[in-house]
Amino acid sequence: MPGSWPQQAHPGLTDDNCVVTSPRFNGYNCIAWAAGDNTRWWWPVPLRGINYWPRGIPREETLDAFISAFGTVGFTLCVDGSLQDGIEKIAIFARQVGALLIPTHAALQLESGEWTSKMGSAEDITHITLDAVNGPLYGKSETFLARPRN
Amino acid sequence: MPSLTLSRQYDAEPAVQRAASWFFAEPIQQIDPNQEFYSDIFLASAVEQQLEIFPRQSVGDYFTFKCLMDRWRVERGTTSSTTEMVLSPAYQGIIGMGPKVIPLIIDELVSEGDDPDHWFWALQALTGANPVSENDEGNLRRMARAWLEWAAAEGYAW
Repeated sequence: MPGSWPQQAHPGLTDDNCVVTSPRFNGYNCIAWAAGDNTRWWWPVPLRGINYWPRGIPREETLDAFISAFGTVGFTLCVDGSLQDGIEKIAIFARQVGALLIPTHAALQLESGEWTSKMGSAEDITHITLDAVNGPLYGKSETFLARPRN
Repeated sequence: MPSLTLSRQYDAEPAVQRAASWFFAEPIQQIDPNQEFYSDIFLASAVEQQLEIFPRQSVGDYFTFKCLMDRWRVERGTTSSTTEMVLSPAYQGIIGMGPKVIPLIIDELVSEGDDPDHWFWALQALTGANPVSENDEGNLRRMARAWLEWAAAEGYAW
């Protein structure tokens, strides 16, 4: 097991397809990391004084709200997570809870085509395939966003 | 370090005993709670001084808090969802301890230094206060600083 999490949470992550790239740190999460912010924890809780969430975006756990939040840093919807020259992509993961699809995670595509994820309060990782982080906690990738790479 | 002798009042529950065994390097020595004699020994023992770092009545609370905190960190796993994190049974258990847990959370925030954990929901729930400015929302270091300033102003010592 490559990181500090229980293997059953992410059974697809192995030493062969995942490299840990940071120590554990509480200060930011996957949403912040994908948005390019490693100083804040992004999540749409209704209570103020807890998390960062872009002003004007609904504080609700829906794909639409997450797409809008990433829109504040220039990402727009795209078709898939294929590698494209000069384009930076995000995959938003979600889990089915009853009739609802609840966002759980985001991964950012690197120029190599690999993906980087911050694993909650745990480490940052680079994973070869997007599906490697699938599992009972994150569900699977549901939506893709893109913006020009700087 | 001498061994810790638990009298009846500290023999609350297995979880507390387990936490005590993590905290004190030496093995815990159980005594017969029915014999007053041993209580006298406990009160006079050198290890008593080790416990003076806590108010006497809060030793059990301290260990309960530590057990719940460790359980919470396992339960939350790699979630990024604050909602899931604070709804975990262990986190709710910490909030359920009531106001007596506030100084323990403040102490924990101090000990975490530059990597504070997500105690802010619990602190808001327990105190009704929110000393975090809008600009600092999500920045856990700044949020911790705001809460420690609040705690100092409210007279919580650490």
